[in-house]
Amino acid sequence: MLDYPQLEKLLVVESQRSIAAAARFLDVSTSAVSQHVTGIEEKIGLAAIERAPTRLTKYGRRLCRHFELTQALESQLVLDHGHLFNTDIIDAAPIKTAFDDNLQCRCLMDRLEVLEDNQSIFQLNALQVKDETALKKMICLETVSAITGNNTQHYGYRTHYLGEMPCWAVASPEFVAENFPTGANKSSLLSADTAAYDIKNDLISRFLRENTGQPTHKVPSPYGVLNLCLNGSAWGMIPAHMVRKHVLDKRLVNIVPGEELYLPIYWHVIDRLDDILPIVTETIKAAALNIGMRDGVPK
Amino acid sequence: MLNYVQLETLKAVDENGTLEGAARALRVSSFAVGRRISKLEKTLGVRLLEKAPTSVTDVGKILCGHLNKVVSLENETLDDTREDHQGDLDNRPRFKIALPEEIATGAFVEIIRQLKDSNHPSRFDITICNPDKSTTLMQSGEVSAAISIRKTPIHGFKIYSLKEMTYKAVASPRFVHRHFPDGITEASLLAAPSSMDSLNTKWAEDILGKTCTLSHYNPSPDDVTALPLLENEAWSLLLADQAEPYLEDGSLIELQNDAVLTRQLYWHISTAMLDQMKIITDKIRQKFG
Repeated sequence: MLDYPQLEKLLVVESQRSIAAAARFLDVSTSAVSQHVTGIEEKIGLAAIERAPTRLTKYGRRLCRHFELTQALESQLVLDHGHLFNTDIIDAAPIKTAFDDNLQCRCLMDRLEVLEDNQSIFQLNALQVKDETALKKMICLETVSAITGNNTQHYGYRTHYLGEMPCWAVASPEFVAENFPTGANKSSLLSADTAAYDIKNDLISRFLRENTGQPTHKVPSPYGVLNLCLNGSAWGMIPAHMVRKHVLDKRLVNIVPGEELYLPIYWHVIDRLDDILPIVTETIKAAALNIGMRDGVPK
Repeated sequence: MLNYVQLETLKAVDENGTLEGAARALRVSSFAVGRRISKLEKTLGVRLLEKAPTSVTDVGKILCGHLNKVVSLENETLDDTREDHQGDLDNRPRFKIALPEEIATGAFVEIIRQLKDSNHPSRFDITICNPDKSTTLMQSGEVSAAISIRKTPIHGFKIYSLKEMTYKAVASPRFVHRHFPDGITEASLLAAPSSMDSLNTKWAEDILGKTCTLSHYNPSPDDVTALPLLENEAWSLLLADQAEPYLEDGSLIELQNDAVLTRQLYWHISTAMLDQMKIITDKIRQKFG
């Protein structure tokens, strides 16, 4: 069998990105860490890391994911039989998730982080990824799962459709009175100040079916966009679950009632993890429904 | 995390029936076997072994079942790793290049062959792309080199000017006789099947002096001929060099004499790949420079 305490050291090298940093983290000498890595390499007969600069090889990454899958197996053992013995020695399985840096994925992640359920079984460890290239790299055995806005298939991963997140065009009542006195139309929406999550202004462009150029204000946080709308600086596209209450309280107005923009979200997970610990996907799906995502067949 | 050395020991007792049997199988002392199992019992706070006669308890059996799952997962991981390794044994570099169709299927095929002959091990991943559309492929990093009509270098790319390419519109004599009995007219040019290429449209537009849509020749899936025009089925623009031997032996003729299309092309290559792909740059410049 593989030496699991040794494998655990390899995961530290992976996360710390160097042997020296891993040694500091573990509070042991660098040669001790090197010896562990060499031990693993002798066992599998292949290089687990590339030296200078330190980076895990594909084989090393496979072993790290195997370690996490073993932790998932232990979590399932706890779920099934945990009442029969003392489970203190078994930690919640860490589930590394890379997520697309776009509004819909950010919102879902924020909701997942506050979910308290099942925290003794698994713990989501979310890594925000800024661009597509980085994301592709992650879904190549660097993380066991990912949340993205597209359904591209990745080798070794299973893709689940989570549903569509409805978004509304909102602004404060004062902003609406000032900018859309006779009701909003495409040209008045185009000329009014906008707040958006991304510089590409993707959601507003998609909502108006026209490339609108850069937003007036770019704030890379859903709450930043929300607060700019609340304080009357701009209008923006915000997921309905975040603004439903404000619209009821009349602090925000749904500028074009009945017009929603739907943003699909997908969950990608290493297929073996999905088989070993199905509760992870179930939890993600529940969270998606919880924030009012429209379930259905993806377009 | 559970201690798998201890779990393996428990499984050995289950399989061998006694502490001594397990000790022999694991090549350790039976004292070590007893100590490992009592440590595991202490950690989990539960009896795993019944003494006299020795047998593994129900909880112990569940743990052995878990161990079996870990072992089979481990075997799958090691198999995957070995498969990865098989694929990696082919360590020749793979070059990603965007080329216009006529070059990808003609001149570049020869370059690939020459590299093989001159013992330059490499693999090619060619994308066929109109030379006016390759900029995005380079910018997105999908290709590290391209032949393009773009005159200015893209950030991170070096550019080499190639010679002006000359294209001739050709077809087989039979095709010309059937479709252009009275020479080229607007009606005959629009009706005659043309191989799918934006160049053909550009040439036709130059001839007619206005925008037009050509009739497309759609090769059937089992059509194996590389040059349909040789089989009397379409007309097409070919690089003058490429067309030369056919024009000489008469198997192809020009649709209209002296109506050539010229196009200035450039070789763009990522500076990161400059050294690795030097031989390819040299070959391209030799061929088209």
